[in-house]
Amino acid sequence: MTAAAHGWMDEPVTAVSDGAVIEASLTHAERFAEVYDRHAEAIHRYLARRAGTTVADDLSSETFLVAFRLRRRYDVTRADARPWLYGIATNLLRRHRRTESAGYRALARTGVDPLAGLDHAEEVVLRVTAEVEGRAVAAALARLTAKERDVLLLFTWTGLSYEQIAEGLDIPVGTVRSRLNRARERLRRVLDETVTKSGER
Amino acid sequence: MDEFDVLTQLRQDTPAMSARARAQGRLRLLGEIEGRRRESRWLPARRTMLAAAGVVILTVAILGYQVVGSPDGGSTAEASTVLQAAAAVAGVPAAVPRAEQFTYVEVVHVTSGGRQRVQEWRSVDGSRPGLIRSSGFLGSTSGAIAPYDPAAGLRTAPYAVLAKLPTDPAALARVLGEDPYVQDSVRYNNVSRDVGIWSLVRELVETAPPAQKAALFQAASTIKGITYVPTATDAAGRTGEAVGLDDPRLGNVQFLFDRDTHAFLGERILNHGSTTSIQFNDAIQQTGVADTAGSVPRR
Repeated sequence: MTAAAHGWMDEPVTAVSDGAVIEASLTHAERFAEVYDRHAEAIHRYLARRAGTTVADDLSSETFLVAFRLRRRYDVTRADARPWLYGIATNLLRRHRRTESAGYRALARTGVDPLAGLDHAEEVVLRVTAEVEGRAVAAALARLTAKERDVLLLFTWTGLSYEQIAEGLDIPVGTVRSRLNRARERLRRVLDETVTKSGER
Repeated sequence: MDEFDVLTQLRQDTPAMSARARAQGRLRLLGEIEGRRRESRWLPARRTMLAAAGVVILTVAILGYQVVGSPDGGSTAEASTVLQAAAAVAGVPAAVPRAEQFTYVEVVHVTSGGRQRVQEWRSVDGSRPGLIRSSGFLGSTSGAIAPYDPAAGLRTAPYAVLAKLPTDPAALARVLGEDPYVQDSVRYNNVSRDVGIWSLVRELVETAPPAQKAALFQAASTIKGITYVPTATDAAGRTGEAVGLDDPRLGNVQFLFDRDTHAFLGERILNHGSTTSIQFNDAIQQTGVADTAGSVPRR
């Protein structure tokens, strides 16, 4: 075998896209570990932010197991696998919807984030959200429908575009836009009320 | 304030994924991958073992990880000399295996969980299925080795492919630097090219022909930041000297050599900043050439 056949010498080094890695994993399954190495941190952070570290430890791992099983369905022309992975993670989170909502409600009521207390009891670091707006946002999140919350948090916490959210959740872009608008209006309203109330005090 | 801004700040201090969670998730995925493969095929044993040990080989950089200084403060010049001596011994020509034969490697791995003995047979020209047998605290298994995939780089390369690598250390270092494994390490793990090369050298020395093995050690001897470790014990209890390099992903990754024969004994990985806390240790028990996959060559 020559160096050229290996592509060592003559080809510029180009980034291998997620799509190319997933395609390679169809014949060499172990290549799929690279998808984990690239994206596990980000997926974990998203999950932890919504439902806490304990849930995230479990679901981040499961996200990649599910992705591995479904890899034949992945459109390998898509260079970036994050929308797909976030979509899977979001679907898995549905099982923990109550935990998630309870977290927002508790934060809204007390200003103490139960996620911080539950998962890092040994550190005894209470994540106190002093800001009135933070508590108000938590209250608003608790009141959103699950579908609105998914779109809103994918948009603000993962940086996915409308199109990528649509791809990840397998819904039309128009639906993403309308859910996001509704969620935004609700947030706006809650924040306005809060500001008004604290202004009256 | 924009309503999205308030939301963006909410729980911004969410703790990063712990190294333990990441290693466990990876191990779970590897288990799934192994289980699902129609014909059971294996990753190179070292990678599987490192994963089992909870050592993260290739992951996204952990924020806040600092490359610590050498735990021993040993000199680079001495480290370089040790590797050059190893190269001189490794380069002694040996019988060239025939295309239809198999290269054989037996390694004992020790982690905090226990010991595992791994035997690997790889087709010399890559045309036949290889075989891996593994026994120890992780249970006993055997199966075919994943075939060589040029797209995945040199780590699974058979003897015949390694024999085509340059024997000039500088030219070899350039080829190693372009290997997908090293490229991915730089790209996704934020480690230097040299750190990636150091890891790759370890993957290749057992199977490489003498001339390439010598060039691998020579290439390694020019890496900046290597340090000399006067005394180190391998997984089989043999004591020798070692050369280490800090890998922000793992710790101080050390190659162990016999002080008198300069033979490569194995590898150990110390936790960052420690000279005693070993997270991974292995020992090469035997290397050789076998006529069939599954037959152990006579010593």
